[in-house]
Amino acid sequence: MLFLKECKKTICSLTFVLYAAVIFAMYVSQFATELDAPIRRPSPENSYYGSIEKEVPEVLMPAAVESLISEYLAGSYTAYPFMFYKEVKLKESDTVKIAEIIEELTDITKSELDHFTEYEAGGYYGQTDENGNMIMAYKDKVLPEYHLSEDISYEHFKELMTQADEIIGKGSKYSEKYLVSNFSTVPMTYEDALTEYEELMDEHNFAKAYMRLYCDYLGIDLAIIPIFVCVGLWQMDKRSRMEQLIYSRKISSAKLIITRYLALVCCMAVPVALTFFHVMMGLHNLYPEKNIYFGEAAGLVIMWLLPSITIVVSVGALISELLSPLLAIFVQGVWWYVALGKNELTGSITKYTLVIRHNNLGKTRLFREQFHDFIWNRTGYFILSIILIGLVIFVYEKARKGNYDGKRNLWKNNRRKFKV
Amino acid sequence: MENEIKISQVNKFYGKKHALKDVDLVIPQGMFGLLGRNGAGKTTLMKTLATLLGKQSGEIRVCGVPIENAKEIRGMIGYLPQDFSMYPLMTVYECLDYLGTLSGMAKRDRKERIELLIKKVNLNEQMHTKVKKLSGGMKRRLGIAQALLHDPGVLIVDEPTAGLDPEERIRFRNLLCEVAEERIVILSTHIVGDIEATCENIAIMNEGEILWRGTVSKLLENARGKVYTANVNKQQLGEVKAAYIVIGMLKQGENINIRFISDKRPEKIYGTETEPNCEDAYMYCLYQNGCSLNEED
Repeated sequence: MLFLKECKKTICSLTFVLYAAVIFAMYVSQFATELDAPIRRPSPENSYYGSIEKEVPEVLMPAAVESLISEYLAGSYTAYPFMFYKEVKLKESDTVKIAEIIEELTDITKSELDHFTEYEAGGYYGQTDENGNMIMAYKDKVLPEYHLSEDISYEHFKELMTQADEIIGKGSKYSEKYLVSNFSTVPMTYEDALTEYEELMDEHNFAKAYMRLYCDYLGIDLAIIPIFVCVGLWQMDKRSRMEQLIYSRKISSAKLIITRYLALVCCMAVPVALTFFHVMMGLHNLYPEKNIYFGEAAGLVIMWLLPSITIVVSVGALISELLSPLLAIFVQGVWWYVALGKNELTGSITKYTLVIRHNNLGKTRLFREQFHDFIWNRTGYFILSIILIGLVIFVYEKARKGNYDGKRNLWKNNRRKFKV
Repeated sequence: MENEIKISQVNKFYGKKHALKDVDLVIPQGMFGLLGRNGAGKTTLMKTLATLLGKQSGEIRVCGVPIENAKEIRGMIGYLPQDFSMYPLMTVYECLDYLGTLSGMAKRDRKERIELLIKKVNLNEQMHTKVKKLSGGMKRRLGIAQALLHDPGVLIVDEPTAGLDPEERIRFRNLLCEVAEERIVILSTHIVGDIEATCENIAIMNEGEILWRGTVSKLLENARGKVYTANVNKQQLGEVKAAYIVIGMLKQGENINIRFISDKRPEKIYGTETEPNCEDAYMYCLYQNGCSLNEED
């Protein structure tokens, strides 16, 4: 049976072995520790229940202003365009604009800020103790004295923060997207903790809660790594100089491509399935008293991760067949990088993003609120995968009959000329 | 069912290059040789017959089936391309089994045919050897086995002996003759010796055109009285080369025994008319059709 032969070809390839190794390594290093201990019910006697991001203007406004003054005095601003750290230095005209925002928010002027020489950034630093050992010590920030203007409304404050974000550049601490997560983390109350716990441990939810976090980690990998396996196998006929032997066979292009595609997707699902079973066993050991709804958990994983694999394989197959395998890797790499950078760790499921993030065991309610977009997103990518694979069949059939004069042939002909 | 391939007025272009020019051929059962220089259009014609290239105009019917019915044609032909290999990490058996599956063969038929063909091409001992460990000759024999796997009525082999040592070449030619008893075998090559030893019917191609079609004996007949030998010294050699098409030279002491083509009895030197061999006849055919045969070319 061709399907089994294609599976064997896939599993025996070096790229697949590396793929499986990466999946297992990521699973062990990122997720497996979640299965070390069960989540315990919060007790009213506890003094701390963790923290929660909550939009509390009284907390948020002073923290954001302090950060802006500190960055102004340091002369550099932190931003995360596409999720990666960037230190931004502003030109003089922009520095003046930041000073004007600070002036509007506080009673401190640009001149006072510029003449403040005792500024210290604070934080942890290394120092030597009396025995000559290196120890870590903490130093508070040293900032000029200032007071927040009392007549600033929260709405106007947010407008000023947006202006600051535009001056500094995308992904600064003051963007509306990051304002709460950066400056408004408040301690959870016992009631908050209990609500969160009860939502999490609901019989129909708790396995899915673990699966959401599991899919969050694996989803990042599955939006990029399958491209290497796909491109490697799609190029195998050409690399082995077997293309013409296969082209001249009786099998239809549709049957060949669909079988290869299914074999690739199924093989790539195997390491995911193995880690999924490991999670299930781990949950059973952690919570022996609870019913684990295996089908619901498996359904969520399939719904979340399968479209990631299918879309990456489809894109890889189409670009490899149409243009070049290296371009396929490049395109997928850029798409993955942009998709990852656009997303917050939790709670920004949109209809179009490739990588869905929910980096949290809790926040069940948030996920439920976005479930409609989640379904739309995953179904959309799955349908797109099928459309793309239809295009692959079309291009393969053309190439097989020597009727495809696209870039691939152009490149081939140029290479031949170069050889001559 | 017709047991021949009919090619009528076939034209093929690669951009502006006219790769096949009004090709007309009838290829009957048995061994058929397609001879021509590198770049003559042989591979283009072979690929067109194997449905791997389209044509711009003309008609091709393989055993009565139009070439446009690619799926049906692919079931009828076995193709051994000029430049091929197989998945290096698969064994000989696995490769054949894989290709047999692509030909739509049932598991039992595959097993029977693979065992039969592996014996026929003398690869019994290599049945479980990985392809990457096979020699060039073994790979060629494996190539023939894969082309015959689904028992096709037409076998197309493109430059099959290129790169083989003389012993392997002879073994390979004999193998082709054996399989040609019950099917059409088209052998494309630029090595005249391969054609001479195996084919009765041939065609000669040059720059996309068919220059000659017929039997080998007629090709020899065509060159009779046009091939001469002579003994010349080094000083005379340049003069002879300028006047005639020299197709062979053998140094004999101080003199050189040359073999050359001339339409009429040579006047500049004393030449003895000699019986043409297939290579002479091929060269004369090219010469007769105005193909450039100078050494510089």
